Amino acid sequence: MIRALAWRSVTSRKLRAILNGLGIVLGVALIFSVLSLSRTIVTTFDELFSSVYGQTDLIVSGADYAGTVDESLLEKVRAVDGVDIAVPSISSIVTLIPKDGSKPGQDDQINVTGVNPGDEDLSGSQSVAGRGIEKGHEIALDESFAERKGIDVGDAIDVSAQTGLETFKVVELVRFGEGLDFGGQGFGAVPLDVARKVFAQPTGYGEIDIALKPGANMTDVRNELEGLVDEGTEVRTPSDISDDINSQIQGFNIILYFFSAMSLFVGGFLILNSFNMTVAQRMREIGMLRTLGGSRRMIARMFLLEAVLLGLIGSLLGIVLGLLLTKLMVSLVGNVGLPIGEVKYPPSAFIAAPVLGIAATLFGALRPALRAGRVPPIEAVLSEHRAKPLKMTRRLIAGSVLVALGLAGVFTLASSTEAPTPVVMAGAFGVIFLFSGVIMLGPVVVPALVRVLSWPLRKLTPIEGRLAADSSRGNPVRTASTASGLMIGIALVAAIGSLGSSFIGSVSDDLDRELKTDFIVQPSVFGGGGPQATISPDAADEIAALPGAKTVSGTRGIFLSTGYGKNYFAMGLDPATHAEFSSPDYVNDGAAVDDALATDSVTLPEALAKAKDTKVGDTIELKGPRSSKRLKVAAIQKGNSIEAQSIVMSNDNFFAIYGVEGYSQILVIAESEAARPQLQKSINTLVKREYPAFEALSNEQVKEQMKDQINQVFAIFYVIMAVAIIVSLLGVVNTLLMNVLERTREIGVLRAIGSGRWQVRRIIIQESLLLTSAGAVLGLIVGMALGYAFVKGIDASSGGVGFHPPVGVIFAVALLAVIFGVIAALLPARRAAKMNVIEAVSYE
Amino acid sequence: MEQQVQKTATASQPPADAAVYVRGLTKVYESGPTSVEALKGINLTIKRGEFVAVMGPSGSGKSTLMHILGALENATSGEVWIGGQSIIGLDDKHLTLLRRDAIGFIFQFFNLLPTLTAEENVMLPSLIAGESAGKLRDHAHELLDLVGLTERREHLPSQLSGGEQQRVSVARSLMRDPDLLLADEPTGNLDSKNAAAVLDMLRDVQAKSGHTIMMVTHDATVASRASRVIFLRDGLIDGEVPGGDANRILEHLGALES
Repeated sequence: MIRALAWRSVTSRKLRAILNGLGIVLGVALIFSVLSLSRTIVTTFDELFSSVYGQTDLIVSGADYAGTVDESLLEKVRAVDGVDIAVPSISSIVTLIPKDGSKPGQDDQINVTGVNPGDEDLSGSQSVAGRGIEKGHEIALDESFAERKGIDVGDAIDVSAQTGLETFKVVELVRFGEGLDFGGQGFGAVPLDVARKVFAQPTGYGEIDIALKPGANMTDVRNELEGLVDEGTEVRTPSDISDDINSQIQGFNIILYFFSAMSLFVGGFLILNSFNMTVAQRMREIGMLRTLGGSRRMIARMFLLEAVLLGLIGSLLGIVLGLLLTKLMVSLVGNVGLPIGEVKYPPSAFIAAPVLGIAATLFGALRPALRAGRVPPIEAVLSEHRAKPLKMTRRLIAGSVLVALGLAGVFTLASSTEAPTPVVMAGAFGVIFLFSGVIMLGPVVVPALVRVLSWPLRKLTPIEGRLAADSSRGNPVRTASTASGLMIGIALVAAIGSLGSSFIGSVSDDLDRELKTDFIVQPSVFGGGGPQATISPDAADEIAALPGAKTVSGTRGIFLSTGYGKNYFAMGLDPATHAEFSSPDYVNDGAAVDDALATDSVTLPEALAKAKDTKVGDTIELKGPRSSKRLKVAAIQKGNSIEAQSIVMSNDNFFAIYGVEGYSQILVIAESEAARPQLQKSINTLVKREYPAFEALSNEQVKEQMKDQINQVFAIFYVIMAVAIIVSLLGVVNTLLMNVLERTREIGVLRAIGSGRWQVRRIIIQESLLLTSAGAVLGLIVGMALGYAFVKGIDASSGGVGFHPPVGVIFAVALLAVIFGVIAALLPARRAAKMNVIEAVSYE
Repeated sequence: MEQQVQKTATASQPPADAAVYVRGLTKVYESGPTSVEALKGINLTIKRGEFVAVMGPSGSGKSTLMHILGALENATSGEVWIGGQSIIGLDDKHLTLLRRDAIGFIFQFFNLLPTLTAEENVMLPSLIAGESAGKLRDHAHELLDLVGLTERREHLPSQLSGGEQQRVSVARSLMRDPDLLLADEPTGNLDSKNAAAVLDMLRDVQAKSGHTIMMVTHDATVASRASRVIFLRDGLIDGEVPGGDANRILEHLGALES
């Protein structure tokens, strides 16, 4: 009997059920696709490593920022008992120059390894076409990259390498794993001697890969090897490396989980509101059931059963949608340039997603169900149900306390450099507290907000605006909770937007302050690691000879891994012109820094100095493929420019250590402002001819490029939040429909005394606008507070970031609030306008 | 049928002094295979300034007549003129304008908007017409004075008694100075004392302002306050008596039902 009632309730209120169900569908789809996405990413890396290190047992490589492995080590390694094969290699990233003359992008980068053609192949790749590399400018490419770029065996390809433009002949295509696609990035191999030249790595090895003899004891061999190598070199297994990377991915995954959990939370919230409304609407029916002898428990069970039914159907459909959504997300991640393989759907996602979906539904339905159980039978007789007055003061205090605790928790998370579980918990609870606090404050804040927001509407269309505002304020709890659902989604968007704009803003500020150049000639894409593509010093001389050029100076650069999960850049520059090009922000007195740089000193980024506990006056050892040197720390630098994030030394010292002669950037100052446009044109013409991977950018263009990159990274979070916002819009539709239903008589009267259909529609649309804009305003405020706490926290720990309000996001949200407001009102407004006037006015 | 309506509409002109002029009005409700004929050919003229009560057993068609005269529902055939304007064949937009400008409604359940004050409720029809509140206030005050609620202008409906609410509703119906005032059981939801007071007020107002009123009721005492009582049975007009004598009305009613 209860089951039948629950079922009928779902089927007889189809629209409501569809709206609720859709919320669950979207939430479950999101959870499912995020689980699948993270599994896909992890699997990609696992496959990547098992492919690249297919038959490798141990890897000897440079530790920290020290760089390379001594060549003399190879023979010692080969002599160790238990070592079967030891293969040395160096590697770098080069950029493929597109044949059609377009600008190279992230997906034109090739990770190239230099290997001795005669050496055993310890990777897990198999040849699918052509023959192995032998000598000269020959390259083997991975099949999926070649396929995507339309390259075949026998083709010649142009790449921008460390020594400039190089042409290679493709002699072989290889396949990693099962058609593994590394999301844009290509893999290649060239003969070691050629690699030494084009990578500008005359000596040393990037790593030595080792295969053990059958039966050899891994631990013994490892111990012996560790005894052999010095401080700057380390011995690892492939799984050590993939664990390292996995733990970095984990951070990304936690953020994904968090955002999708929030979407589901919004979904649960939608259900909560909706069931609350249903209970209010069915007071009489419930009272009647109670009068007839229905127990409290039976009533509550009826509602919960309805929820389970919804959750079940919603979850199933959610999985179907999730399968599609995963593909979208995977392609978004691919756009950022992260390697990503074939989509994997983990079996756990098929269980976890619907379980969470049903749990969210039950969470939403529980309170209303219990409330329904407590309806006294007398309600069946009384026609009007009066809402209990709210305890405003208590709400105000509790809400404010939660908001304060929440912001403190977020600050704690952001301000710690590492993220042990308690800190992560503080952050997660912080966000939950913050939202719960705002939700509590809702019924106090939202009606006041609606009043303010309705002002322009009341000016524009006095009576419609007035009635719309009255209706939203008539049921403050319902209005507030609907707006709160929207608030959560928008707050997260605003928080992410705040982070993005703060990073971008801080970096541009620093660039403005630190960079005094007019143009920078640099590669259109920077490689993810290792030495960067370079441009010959000759090009710098040619640029200096162009009319309008005043000062021209080159910098050299290489990415260093510090083993802290953070990358630093080593940068060589010309101390003589340094002061002309930049004004670094040193934490100590920087007066004599350039003189010191010219001899035997470096400057360090603040974060690295902190992490390594290095002070001004200490010396550090830098090890490169050409030589190693001990250099003195002359200064410690703050800021966000590439220089401020780099270990900075003179170009001479840089060449002596890393052997890179080409420049990764050429800095240009024009004679006058008027000379700039022409100069930029002539530089670009000159550069494009021989270095297609390079371009001359004004400071503004540099900033634009950086903005684009940051926004691309954030795209995936915006997609997730879009789902949360859509879910909350369903809540708006729900509330509006309920309001229309409750005000049947009022709307009927308005029509009877002469309101046109459009006037009635306008009232509902305006009501919707008030709801969405209240949610948007609240969301922007809360989101920016959240972003502010985050940014301040990061600034307290790492420094260099100031809060910049996300102006673009604010405008976008304001615009979307209006658009969504109108969209959400379409259906309810239609209902109101089509209402039968005669029935409405005689309806009791 | 449409053509027929057109023909008859152009065939005759209402007398100059008619506020309501109805000829051959029929209304058929179609629902699937069955159809119900609610009005079977009504001829009715209400002169300007008349106060007419309409009575009849339930199902006699008096509500339907009222809804059609109130431009809430379309006729199936026949002619209907309100204040010299034919309302047959008008689209929704023009019917809406007609309701707003030419007709005033007084409902059994008052139907005031709960969030608006008495004064705002009175001004509502003009506010809907897009007029600004500032200019309407004086007229609203006059109307509230007329219905005896001068002191209650700022009160919300929930702060008013039923009788007071119905007075506000009367003031509202007069706001646009309509050609026809339609009252649907205006005292049906009031106790006898308040009902009498509201009716007195209504008659008083009508006498002073000269508005035309058509009132639907089932209460002979209430109907007796009108100047003329018209009886409906089975969708047709079945006699009429002058107002004033409740007993005569009851007699006629008894005859109808037997």
